Amino acid sequence: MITFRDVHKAFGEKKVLAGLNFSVHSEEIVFLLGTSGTGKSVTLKHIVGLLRPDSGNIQIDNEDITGYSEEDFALIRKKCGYVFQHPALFDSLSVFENVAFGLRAHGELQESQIQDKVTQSLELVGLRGINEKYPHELSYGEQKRVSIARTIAPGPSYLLFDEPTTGLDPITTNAVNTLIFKLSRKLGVTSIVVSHDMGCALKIADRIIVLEAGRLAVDGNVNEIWSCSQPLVKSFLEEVRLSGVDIKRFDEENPHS
Amino acid sequence: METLIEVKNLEFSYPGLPLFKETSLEIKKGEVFVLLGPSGSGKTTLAKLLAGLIQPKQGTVLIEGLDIFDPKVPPLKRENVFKKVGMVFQKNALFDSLNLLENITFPQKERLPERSQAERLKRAQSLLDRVGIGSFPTLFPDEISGGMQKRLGIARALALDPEILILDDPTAGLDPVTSRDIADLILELQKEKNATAFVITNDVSRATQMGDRVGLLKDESILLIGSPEEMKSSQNPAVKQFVEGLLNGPFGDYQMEVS
Repeated sequence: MITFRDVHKAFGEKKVLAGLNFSVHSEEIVFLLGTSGTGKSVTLKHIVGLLRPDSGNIQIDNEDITGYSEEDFALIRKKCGYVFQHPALFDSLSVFENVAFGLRAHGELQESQIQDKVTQSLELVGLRGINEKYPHELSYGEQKRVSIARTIAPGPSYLLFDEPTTGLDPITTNAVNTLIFKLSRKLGVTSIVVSHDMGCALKIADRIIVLEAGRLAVDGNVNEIWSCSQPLVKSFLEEVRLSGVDIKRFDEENPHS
Repeated sequence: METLIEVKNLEFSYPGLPLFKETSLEIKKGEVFVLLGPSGSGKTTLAKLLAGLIQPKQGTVLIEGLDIFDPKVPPLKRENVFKKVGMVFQKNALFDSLNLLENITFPQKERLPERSQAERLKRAQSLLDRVGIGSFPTLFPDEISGGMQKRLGIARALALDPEILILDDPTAGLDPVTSRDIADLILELQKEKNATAFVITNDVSRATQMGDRVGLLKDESILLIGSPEEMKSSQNPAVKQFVEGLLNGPFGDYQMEVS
């Protein structure tokens, strides 16, 4: 479980988090939605200690991490895998070495164990036989999957996705969104997805948290969001209506997956 | 309505990557035509072809009846046509070392030497005001947000009072609220001048909001869909796959298996 209690964060004059409170429970898929600049990515960065709060506290698995040292955060970062918006692969490393990189950095594994974990992680995201390829030889979708394999290889219990579908076409968006759902359930991890895409959230989220001006504005399940009259939520729902697509829950469409 | 832009039997490819084959398109004066298509299908390339930034292998692009790639056309005549075109680039392509105001005076200096510097400045400030970023004209592009950079790109494209707007994914990467604002702003400015717009996007909501007519890039050609309403009710499998984001269909299998 991850809990934010009255977290404040400012950059100079600019207050980004202004008393943020929320919790994410074990094995949930939670979407953090909001317009640009409302602190969604800043929230994710606080979880892995890339940013520290000015005040308030953050707990992960009932431990207060607010005062953690850099060394303490090494453990948190092993527990919380971060998937960047763009694949951010190392161009000069093969697919295998990209996925092995984090495992080697943790420095506790034998080479044979690394081999096994890399292969397992790549297979988990549906990639086989591309170990020796380089990022430029892969499609965008494949690069995205390699980056996710790299994140899951150390066995995190939390997956943090920073705008995984922003800027993608609708087909790739749906493919990535579906992958997030299947992978989260398969691994039994807790996923936090920072996004602008209400359609994606309505398809796979267990809970949707809407941030506005650095605070929690709305927190609800999909049904509650559909009937919510909060202006920002309505504005996001309007976007779904404009797309004209009939949103179906992934788990209802695919009951056995 | 008269045809303003006419693309006839266009052929274009990058080495090993064919993009267009016998592609044709007509856009009428005052019309907003939205082109959808998956990443890598050639949308930006088509925008560059229309703007005369790259040359087709074959085929013609006529703007106001002038064949922009015809080597026999005098350069001055071609130049006069391109003066009427304003382009917004996907990645903004702003001048990093110029402040907001200077980003808009610069193209005027290049293209409209007859305008006085005082007039250019006045025009630049009024455009910044118009797109809602007029209160900090001396900031630099990297000091403003992504949405503001888009607004600056739009203001710059309008500096020469274009009759034709070529907009390459003008809302890419923006949140839906900002995207909708920017799209509204573009439509407002387009309507004021009865300008003709060619808009590229992969966002179906934007196509609905902006398009008089919508097309989809498929099989190296433009599939004309019709109005946004026709797009939503279309039974064409490619249109359905794109609009609904279906993982299987004419665009291929996008399924990402988890095993």
